[in-house]
Amino acid sequence: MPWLDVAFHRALIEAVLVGAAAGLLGVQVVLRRLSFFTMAMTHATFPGVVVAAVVGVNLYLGGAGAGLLAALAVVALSRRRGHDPSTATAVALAAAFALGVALLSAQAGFTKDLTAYLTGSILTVTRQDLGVAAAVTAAVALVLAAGHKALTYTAFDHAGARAAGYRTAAIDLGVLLLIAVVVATAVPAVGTILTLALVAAPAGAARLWTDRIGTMTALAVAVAVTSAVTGLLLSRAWDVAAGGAISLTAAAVFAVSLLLARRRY
Amino acid sequence: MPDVALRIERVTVAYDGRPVLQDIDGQVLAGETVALIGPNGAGKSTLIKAALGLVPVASGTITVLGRPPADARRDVAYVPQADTLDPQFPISVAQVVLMGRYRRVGWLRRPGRADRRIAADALDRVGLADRARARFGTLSGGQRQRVLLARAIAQQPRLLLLDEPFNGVDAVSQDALLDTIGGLKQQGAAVLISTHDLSLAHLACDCACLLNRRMHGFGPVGEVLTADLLLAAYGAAHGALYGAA
Amino acid sequence: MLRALAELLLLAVPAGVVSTFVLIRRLGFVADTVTHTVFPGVVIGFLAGGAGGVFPGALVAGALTAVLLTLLTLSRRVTDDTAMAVLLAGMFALGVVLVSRRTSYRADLTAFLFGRLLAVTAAQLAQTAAVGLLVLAALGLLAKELRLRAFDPQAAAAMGYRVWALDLVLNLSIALVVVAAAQSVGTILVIALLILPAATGRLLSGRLAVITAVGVLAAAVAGYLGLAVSYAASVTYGLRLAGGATVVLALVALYLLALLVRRTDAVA
Repeated sequence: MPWLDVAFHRALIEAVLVGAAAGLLGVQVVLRRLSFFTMAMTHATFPGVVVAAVVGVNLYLGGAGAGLLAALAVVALSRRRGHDPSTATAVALAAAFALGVALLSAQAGFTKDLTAYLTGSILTVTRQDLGVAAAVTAAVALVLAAGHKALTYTAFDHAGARAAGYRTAAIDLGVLLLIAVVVATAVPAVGTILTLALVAAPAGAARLWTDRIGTMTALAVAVAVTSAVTGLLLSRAWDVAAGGAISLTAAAVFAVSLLLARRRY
Repeated sequence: MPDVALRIERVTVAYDGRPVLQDIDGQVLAGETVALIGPNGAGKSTLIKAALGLVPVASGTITVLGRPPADARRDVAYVPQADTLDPQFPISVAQVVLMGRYRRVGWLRRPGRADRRIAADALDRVGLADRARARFGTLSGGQRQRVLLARAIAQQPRLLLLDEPFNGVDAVSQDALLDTIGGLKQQGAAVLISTHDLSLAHLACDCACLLNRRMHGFGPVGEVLTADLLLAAYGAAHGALYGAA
Repeated sequence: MLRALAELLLLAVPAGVVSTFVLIRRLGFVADTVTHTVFPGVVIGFLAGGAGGVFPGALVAGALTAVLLTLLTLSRRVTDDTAMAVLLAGMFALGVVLVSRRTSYRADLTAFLFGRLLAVTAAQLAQTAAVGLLVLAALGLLAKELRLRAFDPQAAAAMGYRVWALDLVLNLSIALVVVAAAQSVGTILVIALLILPAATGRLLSGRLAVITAVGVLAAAVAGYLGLAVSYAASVTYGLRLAGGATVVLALVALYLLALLVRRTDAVA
């Protein structure tokens, strides 16, 4: 496909794919109040990506592996005395990020790599990156569709779901892992902050317009994909960082929803 | 004629334009204990919050010790349900009780020796003087409720508002709470207790206010907590249960 | 080198104290939000007034965020965490977009985000000391009210305290510590200073005073250790390690050490 030889075309496809995955997952993040955990995931994948780059293994594997470790650390630390989940999450976030910065600062080309990590470099995505993004998006859609009853039940009524025979601990961990995977997929292409904006803002905006999970999901995906594509076009028109432009677009949709959807919710 | 500590006149409270309490009347005299009775969602907590001036009144007036609620807070103590508080919070029982003194101590100053003695006495009255140095969260649910009552006593209030103080409380702590409330009444404090436990209302209170969005009765406990009025407030199912019991 | 150590020790005291309140109010996400929203202020300040504009820029952005976050918790229209995530990401993205217009984009971004610990000036030390004193004075004088609000907000309101005003004081204090630390430790690593000291203290004690003391001590010790490690690595092994990162890793090491210590649950 020669159309895919153009870097900007590949960036467009990546924006659509990552937007769809983030929008779908965002519904779970918003309903379960996992925004801060998502933030921690975006930071936690960092040392994994650095180590993977140094050792020479696949970056996605490194990121997802570090995300997995951080997810387990958060679950373990939350059980400690006096540690609510937000403290545990913040501890994991700070530790992982400092580790990544220290590792990276020992390498040459520190500044360049770090910038790419923080703001993404969507214009340099390869066909292989697109393949990974497509596979992850499809997998996320499949898992959410297959498990939507269990996911809704546990998000709404945790104790009731356990009484009804759902293995809530496994489902919770599954959601956390799904977040880690989506973040690991999105970060190398579009940057840490953008990932959080693209997960939280569209679903949060959708929640302001509807009380139905199905409608909310459709809206979230539509907003996320539109924001990603619009942001990309704006970044080309005004010559600013694509990651920042996409985040700002998604945040703007959320802000407008907050103002206009006043009577709902 | 004793003073009226809390007077509620034709009060309506609304959230987002929908009334949750309508046309409520009633009063609590000094040295009197009144039970606020009603099913879940009847508006008991809302009425208590309105008496504290934390929820705006749509119409009618609430007067606390002859003043608007927001101006009388210094003489009013509120006891929340103990299970709304974080059991992991790093704070000792003595520190919790001392919080009752904060308003009188004032901004920028630390509680003095007199404040500490008042707090220690209050803790003694609920029978937990020996647990002063324990962390609040290590106590049982009933003991935590007693600590919160001690905090209210340390405030030296003239009106005491208790929100479901007997929920999930063991027998020992229930007796201790009833004793302490009885003692406060003797000293002339006015007490308003929200509960859905009718036998405790009979045991602890002089008057009852039967509530379910609207008022279904107000007066001496024996006259208000009758099968007919309860049927009206709780609906058929509960009324039948009560009649059968 | 000595200046860097002085800066870290000056930061340790307010950071240890503020982190105690962050812990008991569960404000981990709020603290993280402020560290990110200060970033566009840093960028705008730098673009407008050069290096001297960074501090006032950060100050304005930090104060603005503190007010916004206080309003957000008042309104309760969206769940707090979603709105905070959007605020965090949106403001940070604004900073990135602004800085990406510059030709020295990457070097500037790195300096803003990770600070220049070894390039601390005497003026910065004075700023840090002043901000630290302000925060300590505010939190010290309102300690009992802030503790009551954290423990039992309903009772605090019933006693007539304006809960939103107390919240604003704490949010502003968090913002001030972030602003003070932004130029040396960097905006992103400040979150560690706002979380780990008290989290370490909480592992060892259930008393607030002890938690704060342990927190201040841990932050100070980590400042020294981290700086020493960074220095030794570069002098002895020729390995460049970012100073801010080694300080945070030292703090993490102290935290893990506390995790290993046998825990006792008594308050006394």
